[in-house]
Amino acid sequence: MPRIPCRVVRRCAAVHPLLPLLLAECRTFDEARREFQWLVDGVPPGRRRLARACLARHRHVPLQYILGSQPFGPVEIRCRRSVLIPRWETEEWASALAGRVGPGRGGVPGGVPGGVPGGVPGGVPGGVPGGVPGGVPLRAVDLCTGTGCVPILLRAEWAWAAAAVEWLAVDCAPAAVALAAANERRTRAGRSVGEIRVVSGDVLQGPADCSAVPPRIHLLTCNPPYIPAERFLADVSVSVRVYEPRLALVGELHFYRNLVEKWLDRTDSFVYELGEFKQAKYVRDCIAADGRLNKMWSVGVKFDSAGKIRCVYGYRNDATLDYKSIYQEFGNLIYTPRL
Amino acid sequence: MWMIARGGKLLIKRTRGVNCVPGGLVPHGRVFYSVLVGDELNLKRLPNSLVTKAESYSKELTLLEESLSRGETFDEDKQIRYSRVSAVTDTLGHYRSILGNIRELNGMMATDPALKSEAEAELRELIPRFNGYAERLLGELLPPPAFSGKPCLMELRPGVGGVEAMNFTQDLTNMYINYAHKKRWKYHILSQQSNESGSGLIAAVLSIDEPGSYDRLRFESGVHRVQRVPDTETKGRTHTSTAAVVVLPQMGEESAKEVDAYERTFKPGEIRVDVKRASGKGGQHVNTTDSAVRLTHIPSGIVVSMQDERSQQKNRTKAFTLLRSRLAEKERSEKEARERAARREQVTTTNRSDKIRTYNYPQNRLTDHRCGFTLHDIPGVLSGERLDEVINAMTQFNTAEQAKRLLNDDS
Ligand SMILES: C[S@@+](CC[C@H](N)C(=O)[O-])C[C@H]1O[C@@H](n2cnc3c(N)ncnc32)[C@H](O)[C@@H]1O
Repeated sequence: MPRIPCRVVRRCAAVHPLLPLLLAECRTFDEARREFQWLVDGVPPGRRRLARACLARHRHVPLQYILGSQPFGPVEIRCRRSVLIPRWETEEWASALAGRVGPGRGGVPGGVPGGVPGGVPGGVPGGVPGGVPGGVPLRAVDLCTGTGCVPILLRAEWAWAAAAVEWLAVDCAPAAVALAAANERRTRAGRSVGEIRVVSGDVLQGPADCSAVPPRIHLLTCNPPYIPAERFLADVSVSVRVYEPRLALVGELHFYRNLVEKWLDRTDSFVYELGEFKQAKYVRDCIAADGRLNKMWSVGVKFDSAGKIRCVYGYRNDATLDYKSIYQEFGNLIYTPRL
Repeated sequence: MWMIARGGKLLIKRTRGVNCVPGGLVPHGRVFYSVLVGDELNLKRLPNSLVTKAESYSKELTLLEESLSRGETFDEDKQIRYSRVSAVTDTLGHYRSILGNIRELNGMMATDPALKSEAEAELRELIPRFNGYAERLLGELLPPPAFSGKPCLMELRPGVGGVEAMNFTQDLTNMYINYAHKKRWKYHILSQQSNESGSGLIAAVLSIDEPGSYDRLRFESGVHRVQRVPDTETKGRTHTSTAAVVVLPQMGEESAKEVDAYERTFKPGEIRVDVKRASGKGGQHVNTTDSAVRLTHIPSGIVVSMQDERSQQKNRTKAFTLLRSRLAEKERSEKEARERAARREQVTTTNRSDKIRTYNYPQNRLTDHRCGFTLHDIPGVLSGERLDEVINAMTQFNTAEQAKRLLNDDS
């Protein structure tokens, strides 16, 4: 970590004696100032409390644990130690995904391919992966859900489709399951429709192990631990390494292999966050090498706005829904099915 | 200034040139005199050419109403035209009938001196009403300004003068907030960056949510200059500093949905969205709190950034709101410039770098350099109480300018 110039420290101290403490995590005067304001606004009043918050920040405690929340799309997600803090990259792709399938959006002009535009009784309204024929609700499953942020964001953006989506969220960490359930309840705000079922389970065991998993998944999302163990020290910032759960971070190809081997057969479309190209390549190569899968699946990757490769996604071309148009501008295809 | 009514008393002067008005008002009446002919007792009569123009509206009204009685449907443009034409015709009617009364009274006074005092009393009552109609008619004949019904955004930034300019930027921001308060207008601070000591502002964007506030405040755009002794000045010297104000029309709501729809009106590649991110691998590797968003509109090179909110989505929404306003304003001013060029008119209106107003503290004086209006009450203006007087002077000045143009176009 590069040293902060004395000049910056002095500048901060001139504004408020606690401000230099924030330089441990914020690199610049402006950033420290902004964060200080957020702390002042977010910490219950009292000089002692504010001082304690700044000291915690000095020890690299994540701001989100101090303030107890992180804005995520249109919702506020509660954060607690031992559960990973939602990242802006995840927010970005989840928002993009939400936008791809809304009414009148992008690939789904004004409604539902293969469904009834603008609302289907008992089916999927206005273009959520386009109205599953036969009055079946859209089934969305989020694996490794952590705070539950991904399905909660999607549900908030698809509020108009509340009754037409069936949600399931899975995590193996008790703290995550409890927090996701609490976040789910709070953001549902008393409504009885659109509950996200949060269950405890080991994703790596596959769907067979968990009776809550529906027989057919229309949308499978997952932000699995993706940092290779040997890169943990070198690439991960102190704040993350010390304060966020290792279980949420370390993994390499495990979850991508597990996707292909255990989940793909039940799934129509998936979006998996990733940290390295090799994870996307792995998924693509597995599908391309399988004589059955390679005739059904399209695979693509999505970059984040910092220019880093961030997701691998895919959809079945023989499914009842027109996933092709749904995912059209979501990312860039890197594999199309063999003829 | 043609005539100023103060405390209910009418000051009638027989001068035809520039009136000298008490109360620190520097007349900028030359313009009006070229438009409005004051033949009797400072009547604000409109020149015949304008009256002829107004008459043509009566004919148009007849036609429009004929087609209405035939049961024709009016599209939105026609509906607006209909209401404008009705308004002009109605005002012209009042203008004429009062003018008739005034003439009659004048005639009476000439023939029967015994009635003089009675007639004068009546005139005193009629003239301001007549002038009111004259002014209204003039306003109705002028083309409605662009974005007149819109709410606005005000961007404020310090200019020359260091910390003192930042302090002044803060004062001006407070002035507009006070003004909005006084008018009971909803407003909110879209973004603001204080300087280090917290005494002043490095930048502020104020959102005045009242429809029509753009029209009211648009002449606040420009460089404001302050002359005063800063608190930090030990030798008692007066400093001159400036702050720039830009008033933009607000084109839509500042909601995620609206902004989303707006974003989709751009062609791919027209907008670049940058998020300020430290280098490194991102994702699970770091937990940044930086949620700043910067937008670049590639065709125009306009750059907007927002960073105050913890929520990236909110920053993005705010940035698009500001970008939208900037683009609309740019389009408007380009259109205006084109029209001016078409008239081969000399550029008399101010551009962004011109000083429009001076706040001189030692003399407790405020002067608007465009219209020459002066007021000796800086605290009154900064508290928002008397800002209306300044704005009124500027609005009248602008109306006169436009009227002049209208006449030139006619001839
Ligand atoms: C990177 S976090 C993602 C959290 C959340 N989805 C997000 O995007 O912020 C990974 C999550 O996977 C969970 N996890 C790790 N291994 C798992 C497993 N074998 N089965 C189920 N969940 C697991 C962790 O508890 C952690 O909450």
